[in-house]
Amino acid sequence: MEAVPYPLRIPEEILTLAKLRAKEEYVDQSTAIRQLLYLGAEEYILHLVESGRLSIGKAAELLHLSIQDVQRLAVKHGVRLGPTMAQQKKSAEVLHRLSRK
Amino acid sequence: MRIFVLDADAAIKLAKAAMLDHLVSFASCAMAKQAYDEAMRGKEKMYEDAFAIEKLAENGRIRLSAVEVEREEGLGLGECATLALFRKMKADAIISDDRRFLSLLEGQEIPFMTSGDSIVLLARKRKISIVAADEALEAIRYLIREEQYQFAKRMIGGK
Repeated sequence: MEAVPYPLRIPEEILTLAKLRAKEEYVDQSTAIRQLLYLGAEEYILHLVESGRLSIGKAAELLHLSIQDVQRLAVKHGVRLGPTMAQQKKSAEVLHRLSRK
Repeated sequence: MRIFVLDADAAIKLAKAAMLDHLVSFASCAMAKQAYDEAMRGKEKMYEDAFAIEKLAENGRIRLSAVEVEREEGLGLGECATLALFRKMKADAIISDDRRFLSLLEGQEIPFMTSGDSIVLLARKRKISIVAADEALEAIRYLIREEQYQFAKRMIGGK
């Protein structure tokens, strides 16, 4: 994932958190901030997929992960991805039609 | 023979449930090359489902086709290519579980089936036993919505 510079004002508390993470994970502070941003992005994207605003394929593209990784991530975050009840009913109609053929 | 076009997510789930092999024996299954490539990224982390899909494609049991793609907002390249391939092949249905993708298909009145319902179809057509269908659903239960799982369970039971 390509990183680009971006001016950002960070709350002191977040910076303290980043310092703590940097110490615990043996990374520099900038890396720790990026990691925290990425963790937030993961969860946000999963909710966009769950609500049907993004597809799982698009989520994989944005996070630079495989589809399998996104499936695992959803499990890890307790997010269940799948169709709406209305979509499930439409799927069942196709199933009935194909079952009869 | 029925023709299905699968997106990467559905192919992965059906491979995890050990149902992809049965599905390709029952119907002509195709994947857009772009969707296949998405599934193949799983090989980097040794996901077994990716190797199972690759084997079926190498044996020609899953047909791969590179299609020109028109990007749709909110969809990945693989899903856009899956839609393009469906139109090109005039298939019976797209197999997908993705809410965003399915809403686009609904809007365009394109027939689709979820991965769970494709397992039900195999059971109804007696290509697999009810026990095998139950086991397959159980194998992917953690990846699908509970309602989707319960719905498929009821359908297998003939309700």
